[in-house]
Amino acid sequence: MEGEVILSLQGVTKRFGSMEALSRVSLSLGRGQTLGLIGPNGSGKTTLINVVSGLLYADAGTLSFLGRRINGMSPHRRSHLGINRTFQIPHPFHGLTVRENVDIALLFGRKGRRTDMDQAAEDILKLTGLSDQSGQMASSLNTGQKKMLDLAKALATEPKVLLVDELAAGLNAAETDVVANLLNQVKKSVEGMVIVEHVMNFIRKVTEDVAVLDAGRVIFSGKFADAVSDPKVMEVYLGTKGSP
Amino acid sequence: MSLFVDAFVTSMLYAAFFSLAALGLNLVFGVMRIVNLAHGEFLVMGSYLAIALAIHYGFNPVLSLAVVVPLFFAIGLLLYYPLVPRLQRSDDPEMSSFILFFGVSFAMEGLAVQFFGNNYQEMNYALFRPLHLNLLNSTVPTAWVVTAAVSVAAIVAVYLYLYRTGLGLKTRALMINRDEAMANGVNINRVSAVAFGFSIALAAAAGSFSSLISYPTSPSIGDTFTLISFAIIIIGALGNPLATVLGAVVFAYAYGYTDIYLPNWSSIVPFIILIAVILARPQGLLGRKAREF
Repeated sequence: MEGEVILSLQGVTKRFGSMEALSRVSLSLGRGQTLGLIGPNGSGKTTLINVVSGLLYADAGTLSFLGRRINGMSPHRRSHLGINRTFQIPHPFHGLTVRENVDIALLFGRKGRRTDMDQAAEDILKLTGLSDQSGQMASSLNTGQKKMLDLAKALATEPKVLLVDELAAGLNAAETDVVANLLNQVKKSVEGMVIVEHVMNFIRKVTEDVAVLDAGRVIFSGKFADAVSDPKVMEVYLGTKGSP
Repeated sequence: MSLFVDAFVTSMLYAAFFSLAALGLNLVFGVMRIVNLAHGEFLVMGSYLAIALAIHYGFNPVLSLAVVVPLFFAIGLLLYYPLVPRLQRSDDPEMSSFILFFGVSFAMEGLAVQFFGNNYQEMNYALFRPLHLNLLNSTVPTAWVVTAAVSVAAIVAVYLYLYRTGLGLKTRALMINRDEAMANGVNINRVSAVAFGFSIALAAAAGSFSSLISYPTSPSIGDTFTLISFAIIIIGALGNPLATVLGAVVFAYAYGYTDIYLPNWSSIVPFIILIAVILARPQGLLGRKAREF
């Protein structure tokens, strides 16, 4: 159930030279909410994830998390505060094993040392289906497994808000179902989740709440069922009337 | 046969020293993806300090490390914050670092001329007794053996820091993938500052021994050390500190054997090998793959 707002973006703008990748974006995520962020290529979805996680800084607007302004806060501090993310193209620490990758996130991804490192790592690897690969070098994993490792690392930081960037991209239908089920399980352990995705069937399986981005602007925010009949969304995905 | 063994032993000792000289440069590149073209000048400054400590207080260079290493570590930390984070925010940090540290190296060389003059200075060999040791049936200066021993100890210390400490784990994570490391809670500025401090301290530690191993100290010798160090880390693998050792071995043996058998070629052959490595294996002998930019 949605509750108080835990993550809020007000008028957030991000420019790359003269190009506005995000233009006065205002969005909010309630406690317990999973928000699907959809839109065509280049609409600014990943930029938004980068701005929220701190890999990029907003040029204008306000980002707040649990009532605290986080503009200008470094990515590691945001991680310690409870914001973490997966990457569209995962690049695990290739010179380390799967378990060592997770250990780094367990050790440094949140404030305070854990006393239950081994159990926490085992639980996360089991949840993400990587128990058997624990001792393998991360570089030996296939693409799907690397995505799962990326998710495992994000979960190891015990995020309050998890930002998931195209986890289902490149996966087949069966794998997509597995990932959707996994994220539905993950929902129980986080306070909120933002899922960037192209695959509509996938989004429908994990949330009803969506925001649609186009050219850096939010053109729709509401229920998935309403989005698919919204004229602006239709135009973005299907083209304008009379277009070839 | 005797010449062959002499060249083998001498090259081995030089390889250890060259490893120490170049290690910090590779550490900085690995962690920060910047090139410190003033690396050799920091080495020279360390050398001047060690010589001053020897002349005024009778310190041998091993003892002088107790002053040189912490002092230059602190200098590295102090220099990191005003210089490096700004570089990394630029559009092309690598090229920006070339230009910035090129300027820093000239400024440091100018300062060295102001304070120490242009004349060569060197440490007294007689600080170590006996003057010579027998190593694998080859007679070598004790100072060279001590230099190599300290160099090996420093390499082991860097290995332990990288592979046996939490800070080292963060450093390796940062070397592998900066964005992932940040997302996993690694404070990149703190880790980078420490690595920069270590890098400067390692250069200065090498400088403490450089005048004992055939490189009399002068303000202009820094360029030579930067060039040698750069060649070594390219041969080994840019961004992989421990590959520096292999690069140094290749460089030192190429230099050592040509110096004995083809002396006119001794300063050329190591760089021909460098060119061959760049053409055949641009990622370096121990590099995983071509660098990503």
